Order: sequence, then structure tokens, then C-alpha cells
Amino acid sequence: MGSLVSIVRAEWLKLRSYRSAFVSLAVFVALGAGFGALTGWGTHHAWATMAPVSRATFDPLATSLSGIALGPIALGGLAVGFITNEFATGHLQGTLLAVPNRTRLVLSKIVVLGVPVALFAILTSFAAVLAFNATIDLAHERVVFAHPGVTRSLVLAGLYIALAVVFAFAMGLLLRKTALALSLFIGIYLAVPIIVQLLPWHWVRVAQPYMIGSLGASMLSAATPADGLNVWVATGLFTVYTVVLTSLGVVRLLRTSL
Amino acid sequence: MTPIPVIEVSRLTKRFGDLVAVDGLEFSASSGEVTGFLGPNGSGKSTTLRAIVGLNLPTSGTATVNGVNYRDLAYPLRHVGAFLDPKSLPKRLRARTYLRILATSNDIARSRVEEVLDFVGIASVANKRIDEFSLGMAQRLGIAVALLGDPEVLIFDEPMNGLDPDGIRWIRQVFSSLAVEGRTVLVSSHLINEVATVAHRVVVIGRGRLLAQGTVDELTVRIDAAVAFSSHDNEGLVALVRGRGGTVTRSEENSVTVLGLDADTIGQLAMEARIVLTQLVTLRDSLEDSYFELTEQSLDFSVGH
Repeated sequence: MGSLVSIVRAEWLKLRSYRSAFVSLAVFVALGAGFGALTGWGTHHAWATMAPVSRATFDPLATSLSGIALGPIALGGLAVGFITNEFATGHLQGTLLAVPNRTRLVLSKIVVLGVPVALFAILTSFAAVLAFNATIDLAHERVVFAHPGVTRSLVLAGLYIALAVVFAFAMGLLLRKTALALSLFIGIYLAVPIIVQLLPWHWVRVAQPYMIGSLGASMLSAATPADGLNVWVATGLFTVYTVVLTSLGVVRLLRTSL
Repeated sequence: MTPIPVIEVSRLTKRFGDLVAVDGLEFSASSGEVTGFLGPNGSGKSTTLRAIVGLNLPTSGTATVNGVNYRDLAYPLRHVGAFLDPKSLPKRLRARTYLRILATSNDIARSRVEEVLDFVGIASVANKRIDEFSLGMAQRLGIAVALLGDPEVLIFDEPMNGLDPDGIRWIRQVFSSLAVEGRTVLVSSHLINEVATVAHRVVVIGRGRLLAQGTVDELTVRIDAAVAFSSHDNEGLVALVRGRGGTVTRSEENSVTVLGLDADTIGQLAMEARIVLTQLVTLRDSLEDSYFELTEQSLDFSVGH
């Protein structure tokens, strides 16, 4: 397996060589921490006029992490492009001459994308909560790290972002066109939940909790959200989606002549 | 050093849908030799080279290096160096960075990157992004990529494209010296003159099939050689030549060209008729003529298809 380590190191070197990777990460951190501060500040000012129901159901943790929930959109381009750029330019041929084992290549790219992004997301989640606590200025509505489920949610935020990034990468691997893969990925996140809400058929709404956007809400909350899935079911399901999509992408890659 | 077959293509067939790109191709390239891989554009050269390095999987047959499939090599760059397409260079990366990435992926010492950059003469521009490179510089980088792992086998697809005459001369010297070191060098081209002076052996394909393989000399001799003569009585000798079944293809004031009889027979005829010969030469067709003759048919066929 010596060569797998070498391939991971090479792909890491490659990822770091692209300035756009740093830009995407910076946008993600700014979005995550920025939304933490913004939601804290906003809640602070709205609290006095908030309806009693909203106050009662107010979830400080989920609110502070709302920027993290948008993270996949900030990082989707980076993840999709990490493979589609190689298809678009022909660079993949050079890569495959050095790494002819395509399964290993895909595995290495996933490690290189997923692991650092997970760590970054955990740190950014902490930063988001700290920013939220600093701006909300309401002692009773701060996120208390010692509360049950809070640390778990921050770690799961890392896993959630990593899974989303690998999912986006797998979409790029399967579809190969940057624009197609990226718009479909963002569509799944943003457009599908809205469309489902608009559809007149009741049964469609049953599917809602199983959609990727909803899975994120389950994973990032300390408690199971209303009409959402249990956190571990959501985590498992997202993992299954990602593994299936990646496998399809690998099968297609193995069958392709370049 | 006796040449040993290293790259072996055996009954290789590759179909893309209905198109048969390579059709039962069989040839080898040996150590210590430059093998020219020739054929018109679209004859299946690139498909074959890609099959050798595992970029496509054969429909049937095999293409191996030292008996092993390229895809099974854990550190392929240390065994086989290939540069098939300038597009395979990542334009947005710096040349040095790209070589370092490749070296890392195959556990090749980083010092080797500087060695190959120096060797191909682009060390001074190695921090430029590849999209700032001219085609000639990109080809040199491609050769650096191929040499990076100090491999025993080297494969190049149309490496002279975009090179100026100096570059072509340089690249020929590189190929020769690599072969002298005992390496196996396979070089494709659609222009025979590009490789004729450097190749020990040539493999000619057309429409995905093998047309000929052998040394440059063997390939030339295959073609019916013409004989030219001049004598004190050209008309008389021409009559005798025709009587023996020879065909006169050209008759000028001083020189007559004949097909179908060899120089020995014509000399004999002249001696028997007591005609003084002033010149008698076997005209060896140039390699290029042989190549055209070989590939013409495959081209005609493809046009009529």
C-alpha cells in the first residue's frame, strides 16, 4: 500500500497548487463564521419582538451553524472541479499514466478532499458558535458547549461537510462536465426542497426528510428536528448516498477509454 | 547487447462501437533499439499506444511491457515513460510543480525533477505556468515527464509535432542515446522521414492492421527495385530487355529505367550482344516511396469506404 500513500501525497500537492482551492476554503470559513456572527446579532435585535412560539422553539446551535449548512455550496465548485477540470483539459491522461489504478486514484482524491475539509469544517463550526455567542448578547440563549449533543454536532458538522464535498466530487466523477455536475449538485441542495414544497401531491412530502438538504439539518442539530430523521439515521443515509454515487462514478471511469 | 522484445502487442483489437480502430495488430519493440511506429493519421497508432499504457482496454488481445499489463504496475513511471499528448499537461500548474506531483506519486526522488528539467533545457522557465509555454517547450516538458522515473521503456506519440528543426535534431539525438543505453524506445509518426534516420526498426500500420515490420533496409528492399542503365546502344538493349520481359518505365537520352529485371540480367544481356555499358545502377526506392506504396492502399480503401 506504499503507493496509495504516495498517490495521496501527490494529489494533496496538486490540490494545494490551485489558488481556487484556497479561495473556496476562505469563502467557506467566512460564510460559516460570518453567519454565526450575523445570526447572533440578528437574534439579539429581534428577540424582544419575537413570537413566544419562536422563542420557545429557538435552537441556538442550529441557528449559529446556518452558515455551515450552506457550506456545500461554497465548496461544491472546488470538489466538482477537482475531477472535472482533469476531464476538461485532458490532464487526466497524464494523471492516469502516473497512477493507472483508477480506483486508487479516486480513493486518494476523496481522502485529499474529505479529510482536510472535515477538519476545517469542525474548526469553522467552533468559530461560528463563538461568533454567535459573542454577538447574541443574551446569556440564556447562548450555545453552551457542555450541553448534551453540542460537541457531537460540531464534529458531525465536519463529517457532514466532508460527505457533501465527496458527494459533489462523485457527481463530477460521474457526469464529467463542470457546469452540469455543479448545477445539478447545487440544484439538489437548493432547488429540490423548494420544488417539493410547491408540488401539490402529499406523498412527495414524505420523501422530504430523506433529501440531502434535510439530512444536513438532522446532522447539525443537537436534537432531532421536527419531521426530520434521527441524527444517526441521517448520517448513515448520507454516507450511503455518497458511497453509491462514488461507486457509479468509479465504474464509469474503469470502463472509459482515454 | 542483443535486442530483447520488451513491448509486445499481440493480436490486439480495439473497437469503439462499430469502428474497428485496431484490428488484430501484432508487433514488438526491443531493448536497445528505437522502433518507429508509422502509419497515416487515423490508422490506429494512438489507440495502440494508449492500449500499451493502459489508457484504454483492448477489446481482445494484449499489449504488455515486459510481459506485464501497465495497469498492474505499482510505480509505472519507474518502468515506462510515456508522453502521448501535449493536452495531458495541466495548463494552470507550473512546470516544476507538475513534475514534483508526478515524482511524488511514484516515489521518485525530488532531485530527479531538477535533473530532467536541466536535461531537456527548460530549467530556467520551470516556474512558469504551462499555459505560457510554446508548443516546443511543452514537447520538451513532455519528454521530461517521460524521463522522470528513469524508465527502461519510453513511448512517444508524434513527438516532433511543433518542434523547430533544432528541436527535431535534438530529439533524435535523445532517442538514439536512450537506445544506446539499452532502453526500448517506441516513437510514432505519420511522417516517415521524421523517424527514418533514427529508427533501427519500423512498424507500419494502416487501418489498424500491420502492413510491414522490419529494419529500414528490409522495408526498402521489399519493393521491386528499378534498374537504370546507359550504353552505347540504348535502343538495341531496350529491345533485348523487352524480349526478356522487362518493362521500360522511363527512357531519356542518356538513361533508361527498367522494372522487372535485375542489374545482373541486364549486364548479361549487354555482354552477350556486345553492347558497351557506360552505367548500370540498381535504384533503391527511398524509404518514403516504400512507405507511400504500403500505406496508399489502406488510404484508398478508407476513402472509398
